Amino acid sequence: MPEKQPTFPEVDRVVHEPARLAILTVLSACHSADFTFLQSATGLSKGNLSVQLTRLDEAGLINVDRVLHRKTTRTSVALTRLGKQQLNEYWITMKKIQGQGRETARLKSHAELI
Amino acid sequence: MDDHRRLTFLTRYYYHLQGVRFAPLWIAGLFLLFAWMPHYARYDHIGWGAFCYALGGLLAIQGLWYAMATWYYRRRFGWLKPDPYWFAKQKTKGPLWWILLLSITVWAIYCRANHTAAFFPYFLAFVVTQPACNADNPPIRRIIYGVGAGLIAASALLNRFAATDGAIFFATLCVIMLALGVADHLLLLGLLKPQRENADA
Repeated sequence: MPEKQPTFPEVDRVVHEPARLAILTVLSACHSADFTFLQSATGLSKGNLSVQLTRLDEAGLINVDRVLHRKTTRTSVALTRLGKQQLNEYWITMKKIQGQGRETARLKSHAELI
Repeated sequence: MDDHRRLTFLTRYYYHLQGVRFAPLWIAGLFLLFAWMPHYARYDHIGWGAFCYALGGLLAIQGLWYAMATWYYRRRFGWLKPDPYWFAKQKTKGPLWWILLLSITVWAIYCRANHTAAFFPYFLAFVVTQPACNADNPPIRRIIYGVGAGLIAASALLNRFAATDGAIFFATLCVIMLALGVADHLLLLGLLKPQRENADA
């Protein structure tokens, strides 16, 4: 009988992607931020950041607010209640996976010693 | 510092790291001190009229610089609206620190009002220790603020021995605060990332 492999909990793919996770991390530490700050903090290019923001907006995790100011558009982004919830759940899942990983490694090293 | 901690710290302390905005205030302090000291040493006429005009002018320069620096930071690095700020929540053992600070404030005011001791410098030194006690800060910022607070407190002690009526302390305070402002600005530049393209769309 093959050895039973540990099953890790599923992670939210929308949140898990590094660029989107960076954006959500920034937004979780403030009330709202503009496009330039998100770009400076995450190091993403304008196009890439715009695509990631659209993705997160479609998933309902962020709220994008565009205001016309002196012929330029100011984009302000804030985390929604769902976004906060999803990000918290993501970190809880990651901690669970980390715990399971440690446990598996411990059992494996124990079995090798025997 | 890992990416998650960097992003959280940068966002939470973005405005704290814009220390250069207050640079003219400390330079003006030093300027006024050196302008005032020779008069004080000779016990002659200080020239309060000129002193007040100089102070007003320097404060106006500070205001202008502050507005320009704010505009620069906003245009260069962006803008954010911070979460409602709760001082005591920003650090480990926060409430204890703030209770101590309030107690020292009351004690400093009492000492000043009764002319029993020049307690104010120690109070200011204690205020500067706040980032040093804050576990959110990277170790380098904690060390720099700790050293700064130590130097301010030491200058107040030296001031008492040398009987310079606050000059050594005031000069040290201005230099330290200016240096801390520049250090914070450099830390901000270090925390901002160069553009990357490796994330999949």
